[in-house]
Amino acid sequence: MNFNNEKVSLSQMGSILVLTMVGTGILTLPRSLAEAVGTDGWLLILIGGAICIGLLFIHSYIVKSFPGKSYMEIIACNLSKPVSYVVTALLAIYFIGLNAFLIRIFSEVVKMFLLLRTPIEVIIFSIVLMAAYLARQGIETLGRLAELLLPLILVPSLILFLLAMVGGDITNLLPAVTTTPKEILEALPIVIFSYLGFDIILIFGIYVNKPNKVIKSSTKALVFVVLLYTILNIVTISTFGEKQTTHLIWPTISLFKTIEFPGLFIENVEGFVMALWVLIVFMSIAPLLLVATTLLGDLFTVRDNKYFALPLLPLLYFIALLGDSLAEAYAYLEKFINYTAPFVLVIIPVSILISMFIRRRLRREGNTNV
Amino acid sequence: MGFWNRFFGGKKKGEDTVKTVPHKSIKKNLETIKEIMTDCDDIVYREVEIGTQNEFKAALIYVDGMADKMLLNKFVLNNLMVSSRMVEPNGENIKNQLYKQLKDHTLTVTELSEVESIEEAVGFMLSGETILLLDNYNKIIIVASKGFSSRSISEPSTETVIRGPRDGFTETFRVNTTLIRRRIRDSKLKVKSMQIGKRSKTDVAVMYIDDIVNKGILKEVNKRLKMIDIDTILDSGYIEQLIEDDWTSPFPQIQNTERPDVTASALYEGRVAIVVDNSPFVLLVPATINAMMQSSEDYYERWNIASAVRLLRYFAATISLILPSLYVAITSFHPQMIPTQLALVLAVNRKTVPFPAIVEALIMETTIELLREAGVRLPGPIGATIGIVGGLVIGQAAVEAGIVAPLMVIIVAVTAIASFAVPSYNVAIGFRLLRFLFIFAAGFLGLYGVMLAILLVLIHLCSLKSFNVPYLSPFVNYIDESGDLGDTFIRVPLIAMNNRNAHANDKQRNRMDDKRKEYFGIEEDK
Repeated sequence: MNFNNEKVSLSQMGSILVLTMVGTGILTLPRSLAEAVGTDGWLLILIGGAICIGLLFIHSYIVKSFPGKSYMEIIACNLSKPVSYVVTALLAIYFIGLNAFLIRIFSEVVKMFLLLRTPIEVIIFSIVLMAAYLARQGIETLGRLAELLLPLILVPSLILFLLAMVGGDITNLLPAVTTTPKEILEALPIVIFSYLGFDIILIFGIYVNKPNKVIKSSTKALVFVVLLYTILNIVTISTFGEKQTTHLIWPTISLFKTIEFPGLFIENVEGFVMALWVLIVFMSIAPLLLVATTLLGDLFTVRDNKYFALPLLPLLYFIALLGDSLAEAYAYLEKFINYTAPFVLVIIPVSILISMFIRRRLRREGNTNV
Repeated sequence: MGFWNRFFGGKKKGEDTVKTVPHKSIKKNLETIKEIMTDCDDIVYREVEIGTQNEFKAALIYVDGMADKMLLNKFVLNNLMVSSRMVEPNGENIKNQLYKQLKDHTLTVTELSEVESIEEAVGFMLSGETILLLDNYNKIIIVASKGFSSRSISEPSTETVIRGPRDGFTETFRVNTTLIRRRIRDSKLKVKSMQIGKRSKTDVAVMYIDDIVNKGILKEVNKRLKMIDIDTILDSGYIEQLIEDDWTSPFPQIQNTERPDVTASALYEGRVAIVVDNSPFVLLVPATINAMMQSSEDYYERWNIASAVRLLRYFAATISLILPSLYVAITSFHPQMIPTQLALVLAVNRKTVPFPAIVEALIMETTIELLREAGVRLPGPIGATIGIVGGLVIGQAAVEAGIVAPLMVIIVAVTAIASFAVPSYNVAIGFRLLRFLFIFAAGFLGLYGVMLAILLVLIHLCSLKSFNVPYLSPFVNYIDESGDLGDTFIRVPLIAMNNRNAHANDKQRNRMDDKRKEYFGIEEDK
């Protein structure tokens, strides 16, 4: 028997945000950045981070302004009720789609590095099952798990970065700042994709125990991720150089594979890295699944939205199997994100914000009807 | 919630409290009691006549063996029958004053009470008190005469320490509460007694320190205890299983201890102790996994040693959970992960082994569990012998026969030792059960399977709560409650443990004002 008070602390929410963001981007970010802007990846990460902080600020501001209200209720009272149904449904599709692709990438990596002869279906199925188990336990469990895993993931990762740094050559980062503004603009979607996940604050905002402080803690979380990505990018480029990075499928794992401890019990850290990797990506998949179940629960106004966790399993499974090859799956993902992300990240929040300001203005003018 | 209701809700309390008011005549009362206690041959009825002219009839009724006969002889019967005759009645109508006379002047017993129904009196009698019936008087006097033989206080066998007090709880309720009271001479220490069990009427006491305890937790404890509707409570284990949060979990959500010092320290931390009659195990709530990994000795030893031991314990718990599964995963899926030399040794070792690694691990783990169980059941000296015979002979023979790799034997042995390094037996046994799950996961999906199993266990642990306190606290809320980490993997010096844990009452968080710092001239960094 649980008490179901269903509240997470600010630090737990921050941990959820950090882990969700890290899982979506960490694996391929250095490669796609190197392909797009060469050695200036760090610059792009900072610019993209700044943009995302701006967006996150809007998101947190919305959450803060409507304490105790779910996102659907917020939309309903700002943009009318029919719109809220449509938007919530679209959001659910967005999160399910994003999650499915994440699961696909995860399974490909696990298959490639750990289970060469295991069918990918088994891997997909098992990870989704585990995520569904977590989603059924609710937000409190997720919050606690996130705060528990945050140091367990980050401390070893930072140590690994440091160790990898030893073999690097910092001059690989030169020449610096050679990209034109146009190139940067074109590459922005890549980097913003790597930050995806911060938008879950919109849906999880209702569960935060101190909503008036949510802006500060969520911004902190994003700044943290920006720093982490910057370190990752600098270390990767300085180890492999720009050209080689573009040829690696999973530059982060390749980076860690360069670390060796001859004579120690673990001669290569691959197994260790893969263990970390499972944790990292799981902590992206599970929150996204929980977000989707929460949205569906709001949409159908059920008493307990945990019942949606398992029925989503086959759906995720089939979407995750779309695309015969990894490249094809990536192409689908890009298309999907390009169509949906602006809508989720920018258009809806901004229109809520505008509506909020208009309503506030009207109220100030004495029109209590709105 | 559903299960809780299914177990405890729904049924209304039955109306079984019939009350018979005692009759004026002692004969009728005796008959009623004899009728209630038909075929109970351990009840002693002693009818006496008192007064200078033997004009009053009285009767003592008690359960043979549960009442203190010496007390009855010397201070009840002697006073009633012999001493009272030496004093002249003071003229008044003694008949009407008899009760007052007896109570205030005759019976030299510390505890006397009166009840107004026969059923109540019988209830008292069955717990060891003595009924004193008087003629012409429609109340029943109860003489506190509990005095049955019990085990003396001895060193607890489950939680031995090298340094620390040697006394342990016994099966006697009052002895146990006394042992706790001796350590907390504070009027704020409350002992709330109740009886649980429709037939057994077992005494249960909820103990807490009034101003430190978290009122929400206390309320929840009382609520859950009141909900218990069972015929008998034979041990605190019954209570534990009936009030725990999640009965499906392999992890105990209530701590039990045989040590009064552990109980006292828990009470000082704002926790609640549940003392159950006939059980030397006192229950402590709320319990966290952190509390179960602590031993009372940690606080008596110096902090650096205690910290090292704590770290070792967490390490032991981890390897007792995952070491065999890592062996299975690495040998059957990822031999490239270990150094080449080691991989070669392993390959040579396993050359003759006819089973896959998972079968090998299961055989050895089952054997060691068999040995453990057999060792517990057998009397002391034989138990040790079984350990040696089993451990040395079977291990050696299995390796020589070539059905198990030597490394597997080493791993199983290390794992078994590690699991005994966990201070709480019930946590260790949970880990031991889960170890088999890990082995299966490793056998099916290798290292990925092990990670999935770890996630499964972590998710489950994160979802657990013990009386509204997260089971994994303070590991899951350390950013807000960073001070609490000082008593987890490490134990910070006592002078730095200024605050109680987060689940104590907020107003009483501070527990120590350190004068040492001023005395030794250490600057405070606040």
